[in-house]
Amino acid sequence: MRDSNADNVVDQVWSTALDKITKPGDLPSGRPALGDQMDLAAAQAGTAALLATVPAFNKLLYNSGYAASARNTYLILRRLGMPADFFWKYEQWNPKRALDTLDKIVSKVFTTMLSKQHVGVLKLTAADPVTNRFEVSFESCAECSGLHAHDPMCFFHAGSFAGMLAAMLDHEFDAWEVECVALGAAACRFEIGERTDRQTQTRWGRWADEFTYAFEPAARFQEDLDGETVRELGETVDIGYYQMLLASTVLTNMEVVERSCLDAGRNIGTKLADIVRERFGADPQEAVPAFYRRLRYASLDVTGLDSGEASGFRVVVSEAPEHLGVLESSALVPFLSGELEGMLSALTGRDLALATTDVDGHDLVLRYAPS
Amino acid sequence: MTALTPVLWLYFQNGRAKYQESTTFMLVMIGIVLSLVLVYFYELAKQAPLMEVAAEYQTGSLLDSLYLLGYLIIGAALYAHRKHQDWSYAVVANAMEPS
Repeated sequence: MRDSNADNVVDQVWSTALDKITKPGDLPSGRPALGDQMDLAAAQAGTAALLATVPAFNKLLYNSGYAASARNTYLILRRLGMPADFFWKYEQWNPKRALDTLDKIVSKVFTTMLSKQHVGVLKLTAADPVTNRFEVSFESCAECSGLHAHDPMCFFHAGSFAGMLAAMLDHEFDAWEVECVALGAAACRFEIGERTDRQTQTRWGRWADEFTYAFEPAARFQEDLDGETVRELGETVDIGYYQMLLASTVLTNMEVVERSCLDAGRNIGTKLADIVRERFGADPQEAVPAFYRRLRYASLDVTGLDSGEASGFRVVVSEAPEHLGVLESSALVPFLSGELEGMLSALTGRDLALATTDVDGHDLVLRYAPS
Repeated sequence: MTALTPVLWLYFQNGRAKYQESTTFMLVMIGIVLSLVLVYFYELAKQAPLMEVAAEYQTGSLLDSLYLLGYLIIGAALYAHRKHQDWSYAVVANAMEPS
């Protein structure tokens, strides 16, 4: 059963994304020191690691994106004043009218939202209202730009786009990715068909069932820290996107993925330790905060605790997207805490484990001790 | 007429609940129904038989006004139906502008 509180938080994150466009002056930045952008690599790492290690996480990612998008597309369009009968009898429209009308709304609302968040540039490229088949292209995709894969890997966006059309046209759709930037394409391209259609079921099933992926975090972060350009939209993404991704996938499935997030985070933290040491020095108290600040991910204050067997680290985390704004009370930090656990362990050569997690005002206080 | 009103009302409610019917299309239907039945309301209000009331058509009477009202509703609703998407899109586009 879905957690309605988690859904409410997801809806608030989406609503905040809309507010950033329609009421830009009313929303003070939640991150006075770091700003509203974070490095793309940091936003990608969590889902990429889970895609590589957790079986069927791709389907969870897809379904989470679909559910959040369908619900929030409906809410957003109503909030913007679109009448419920805007797409009345669209099945009887000719393809040109269907494409033009849908594209106008998609461009005005969703392309604007996604572009402003630096998530990608969405375009509806084909629409056939008779067969209910649609195609969208997504340039500068935040989910896969800079990553390398053997199979198209943008499950969150596929689910989001299918959910978006489902809410607008009041049909159940599924989307599958046919071209992906992670495979060298210029843009990600998705085909969308009615869920009850046999061909849709076959193609979506094949894409989701046969998906395999291996994530190389060191290579991706090396590229990011070198300042290499991986997409036209820039190398940063709005923290609202990352919050949307986290809330939609992790928060709504916390019981299922919490342990996996911790493990995946620890694995990435371990693999990134060499880069951190090489670029920011061997002292964890200096290097770890410098690394996270460079990624514009969070402000960290790492203090060594030397008290005999309890020696370890106290890490005060400020301005982390997963503990900010509407997510502040959601305890959505298994990935970050796992990453720090792996990184501190590898940097010190000791096996450290997360001992306690506390909240101090807007800050998160994590204490790591020998396990 | 007494039987028709709740049927129209239920049809309208059902259509709105399922987002399957167009408000403007509904208005066209209401206009058609009104143009047909307003004469009976007039008949009831005047307490006169239909044959006598029908003689008032095309004499500049209140009955002509009611008949025209039905057609005006149809015309206005058809125009709104045609412009509905443009107006709705303008509302959405305006709402997307920073305030």
